[in-house]
Amino acid sequence: MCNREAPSVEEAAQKFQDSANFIGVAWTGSDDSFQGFIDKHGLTFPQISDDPGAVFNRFDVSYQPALVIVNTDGSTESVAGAVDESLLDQIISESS
Amino acid sequence: MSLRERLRNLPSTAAQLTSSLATVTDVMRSLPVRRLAVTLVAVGLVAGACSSTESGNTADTVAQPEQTSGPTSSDDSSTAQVDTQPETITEPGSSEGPAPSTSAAEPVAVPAAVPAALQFTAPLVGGGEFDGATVADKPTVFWFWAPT
Repeated sequence: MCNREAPSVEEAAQKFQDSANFIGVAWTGSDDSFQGFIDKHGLTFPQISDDPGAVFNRFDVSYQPALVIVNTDGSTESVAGAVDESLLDQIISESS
Repeated sequence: MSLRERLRNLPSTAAQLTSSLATVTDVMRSLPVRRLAVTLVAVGLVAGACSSTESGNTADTVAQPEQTSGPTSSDDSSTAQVDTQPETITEPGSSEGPAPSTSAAEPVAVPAAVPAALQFTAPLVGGGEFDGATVADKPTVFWFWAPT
C-alpha cells in the first residue's frame, strides 16, 4: 500500500514545496529498511524514524498509510488510508 | 639737527634728490619769499623717497606671504585637521549606521508561534533530529508509512 502511494506523495511534496512542509513518519522497521524504502522511491523530504510509534501515538494514528495535516493555526486534519494525487492537491490547497 | 643733515641721513635716493635740491636752495637763498616753497618741495620729495622706500619694504612684505605659504608644515597641520575632521564625521556616521539597521531588524525579530501539535522532536532516518518548531511557518503534512 505504501509502495503504491509513495510516488504520489513525493510528487506532491515537490509540487507544494513552497506552500507546505512534508514530513514522513516511518514505523515498524529498522533504519536500514526505512532507508531502503526511501532510496527505492527517491523520497526527498525528511523522514522520521518512529519505530517505537511515539509520533504515531501523538497524532492518534493507529494504522498506515495515513496523513495528518497540521495547519499554521494549530488545527489538524487526518486522512486514513491511501490518497492519490488529486486528493493530496485538494487537501493541501484547502489547508491554511 | 638741520633739515639738510636730516636729509643726508636718508637713503641714497632721497639723499641724491636732496643734494640736487640743496643746490637749488642755495641759488634761491637770496629770495626769501620762495624759501618756504623750496622747503615744502624738498619735504615732498623726501616724503616721496620715503614712500618709495616703504614700497620696497612692501616687496619684502609680499615675500612674507610666500614664506608663509612656503612652510608646508602649516598646510600639513591644516591637512592634519582635515584628517581629524573625517574621523569626527565618521563617528556620527557610524552612530547613524546602527540606527537604520536596528529599525530594519525589528520586523525580522518577530517570532513565529509554534502550535502544540508541533512542539516535539524525533530522530530522523539517517541521523539528525526533526524539530517541529522548524516547520511552523507553513501547513505541514505528516505522511505515516511502513516499509512493508
